[in-house]
Amino acid sequence: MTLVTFVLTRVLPGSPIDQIAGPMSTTEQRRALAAHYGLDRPLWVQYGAYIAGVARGDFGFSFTTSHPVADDLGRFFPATFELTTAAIVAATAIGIPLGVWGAVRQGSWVDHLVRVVAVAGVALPIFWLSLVLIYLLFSTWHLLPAPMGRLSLQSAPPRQVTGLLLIDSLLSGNGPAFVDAARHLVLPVSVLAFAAVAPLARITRTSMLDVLSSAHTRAARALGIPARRIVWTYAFRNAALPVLTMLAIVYGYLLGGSVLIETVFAWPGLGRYAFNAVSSNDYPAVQGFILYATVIYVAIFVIVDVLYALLDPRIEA
Amino acid sequence: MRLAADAGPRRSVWSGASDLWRAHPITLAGAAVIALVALAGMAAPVVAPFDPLTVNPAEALRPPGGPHLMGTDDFGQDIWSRVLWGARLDLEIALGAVAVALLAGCTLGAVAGFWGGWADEVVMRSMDILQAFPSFILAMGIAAALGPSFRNLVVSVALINVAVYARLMRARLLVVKQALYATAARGAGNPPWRVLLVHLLPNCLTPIFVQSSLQSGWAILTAAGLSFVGLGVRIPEPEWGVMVAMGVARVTAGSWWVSFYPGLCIALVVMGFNLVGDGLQDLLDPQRR
Amino acid sequence: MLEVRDLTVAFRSGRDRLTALHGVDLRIASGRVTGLVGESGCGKTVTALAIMRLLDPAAHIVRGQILFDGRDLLALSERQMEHVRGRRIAMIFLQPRASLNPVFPVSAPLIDVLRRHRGLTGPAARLEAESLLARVGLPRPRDVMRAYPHHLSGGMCQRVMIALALACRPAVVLADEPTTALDVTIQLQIIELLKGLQREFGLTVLLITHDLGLVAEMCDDVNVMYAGRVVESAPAAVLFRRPRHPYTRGLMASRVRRGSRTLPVAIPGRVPDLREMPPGCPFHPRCPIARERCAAEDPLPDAVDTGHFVRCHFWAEGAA
Repeated sequence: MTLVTFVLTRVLPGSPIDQIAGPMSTTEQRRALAAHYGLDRPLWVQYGAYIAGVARGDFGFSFTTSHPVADDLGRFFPATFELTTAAIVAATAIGIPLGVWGAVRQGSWVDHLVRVVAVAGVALPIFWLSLVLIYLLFSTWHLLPAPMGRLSLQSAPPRQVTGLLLIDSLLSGNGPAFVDAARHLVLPVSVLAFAAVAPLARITRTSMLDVLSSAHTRAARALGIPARRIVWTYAFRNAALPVLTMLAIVYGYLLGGSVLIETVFAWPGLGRYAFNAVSSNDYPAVQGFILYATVIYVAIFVIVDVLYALLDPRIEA
Repeated sequence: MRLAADAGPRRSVWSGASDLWRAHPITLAGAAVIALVALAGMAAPVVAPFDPLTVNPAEALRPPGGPHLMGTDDFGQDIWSRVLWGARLDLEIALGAVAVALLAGCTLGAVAGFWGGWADEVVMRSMDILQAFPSFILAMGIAAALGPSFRNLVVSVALINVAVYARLMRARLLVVKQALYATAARGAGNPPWRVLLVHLLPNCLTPIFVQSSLQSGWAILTAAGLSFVGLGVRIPEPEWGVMVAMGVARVTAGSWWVSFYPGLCIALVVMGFNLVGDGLQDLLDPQRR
Repeated sequence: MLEVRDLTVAFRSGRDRLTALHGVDLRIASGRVTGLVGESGCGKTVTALAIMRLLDPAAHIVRGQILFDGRDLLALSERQMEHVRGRRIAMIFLQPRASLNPVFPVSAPLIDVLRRHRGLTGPAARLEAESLLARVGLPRPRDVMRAYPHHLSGGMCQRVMIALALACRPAVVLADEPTTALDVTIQLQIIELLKGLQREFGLTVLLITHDLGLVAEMCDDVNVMYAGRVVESAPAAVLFRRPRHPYTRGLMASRVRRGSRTLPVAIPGRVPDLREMPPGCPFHPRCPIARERCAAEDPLPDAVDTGHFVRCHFWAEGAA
């Protein structure tokens, strides 16, 4: 996996040396720079050095920010984490009950709503949706703040504890900062959540429908167990398993989506970091980002696997 | 209570068509959208009132109305014309990417399923690696590595979709292999490749159609997204994602139309593909709800 | 105790409407075992599900009444029906393991049922659950409580289902082919268990099966079904001694009897598909005594004797 990432980024066209040295540099200076960054060594040697570094936690230095990539990743991580986590929580809180409701009341208006949302959420490009909402809610109706980062320029940021503005402002009792941060979060989280609700509601609905027509559901009904209990206690557990897998996939989608959203909202997170890195051929930064995103993605799947083993007694862990 | 369908051979094409419409209105609506867009793309050179690439600073940022149905952008280019040409471009990208992914994936899957052993291992591990990355991020990486161009965009989008087809094909092939051995054992005399084709094709056409339809929608979104961040087709090409990007700075200033129309087109086309894909799925696998 | 009158049920399949039950009449007498016999597809299970109001949403009850406890079950709301299910009428299904939720231990529905229908909670419920499991012949009930369905054999699962049905203390038990999916040796055990429980608790049982032998073993009254209709209905002794309907006679003749001199004779032809139901009496294409009238008119129930009904135009003509 690291190999693929490495090869990919090394193949990036355009030389970072040109970017760093600038157009006025001499060949001599360029060669020196290349040596300094180790870019003149054979490719496989560079890879070896990189892996060794990663094992130590050293992701190299960013060409553009001149900080260690690891530091950069750490610095921008909280903003993205706050965004994606809020989006997933919102999507789950809305999407799953919606899916269950649609399954239980098949054919009703809720069911149709679920299907419409499912189709729309997957089809609408999130960068476009963001712009539409920005236009309406900021430019036209002035309900929400400008898409310029996490806090207004006037606000004093709360004391940094976790890096998550909502939590930090609560911890330091900074009410106005909390409200400001929340207002800035509304739009990007809404767009991401909307995209995530669609597949979640859909798989919940399908999964529930399957379970509700199963033999054991019928047997439970035959015993006089009330419908509410059957749906939320029994059927839900059965239906939850495929939904979990979808949650993992959705999270991966949000990781990718964060690049687009952060670009539109000027959000100082890893998505925008990646975008800048790619635009300026910043190899270590791009590699670092791809590795981070992939590791998190894989980790989520591992967690899901573990949860599966815990929840499904048929899997002997 | 029987259908007119059983009434005899006199049934006209129209009654058949209207039955289809009544049964699956949404799917047909989706198909209609796609057909419309395809037509628009093909007719672009003829129908578009303005040249999509001509710069005309005097007409910059005109709102929709008058000769400019959808207004103009920063450079005075007519958005309606660019949207029409963009239909062509985006559909080419999507269908191209899906075609490449299909061919590559099916071949790989067939090889893996047929030969088994280490070929299977290699192909499947590669697919696993491909799928370990969040797809958009992988596409970003590939597109960045290859450089922004039309061809590379198609390749990037295709690569992230290969795995689906590979797995599909491989699964089908494993099933067919059983049939192959059975016929071989009976010594029926049918050449193996013929048995392969006869058993294989009908089985896999259905899911391939469904997947391709859904993948096309996803391909357009990915391509547009990549172009939006500058990793795909570049300015001034009339690709919808690029057009949305060009309008970003203008939205807060009030010129919403620059980004709105191209993005709307993306949404409509993707929705069309998704509806058709879903409809196909319901049609061809009636147990699904 | 439970009476089904003129029950007609249809399904929507694609664009067709298929009638599964045509005017079914059924009387389940209190404290007795009533059998519902017929080949696969004749509508036995549909009848039971209709009584429980657990039919598929695609099913449509065209007309009829199900009288129980002084009420028509078909007129009740879903909420009222939830009070009838389990507590008054319980059902045991064909596939025992599939009827248990795989991600919950076996004790879960049991405790749930005890809490809901008998008001037991906590340790009292657990004790009662264990005693029920012991009563249906499960060794080490405490271990069974904690077990999941995939840990248990088919026979054990069926015993659990029986325990679940009993836990509600119902008045009526509908048993849909309770032994068909089990090994032959286990079948005998389950039958013995059911017989014992029925005697002990005085249960009213509707036994649905395709096995005439089982009917002979267990049933006091028998109803024979064919193509969605009850074609003959009589006390078991009468039915076996002097069956009147040609189909019933055909069924009797097709049994393998120990000590009999004659070979079993199969009924020619096949059970009609719901989509291709013959006009008039559905059995007439296969019937040895069919006449013109049979192809034109579907016979209504005729009384042979008290408690003995037949749906045939010419039942009186058959030899004993």
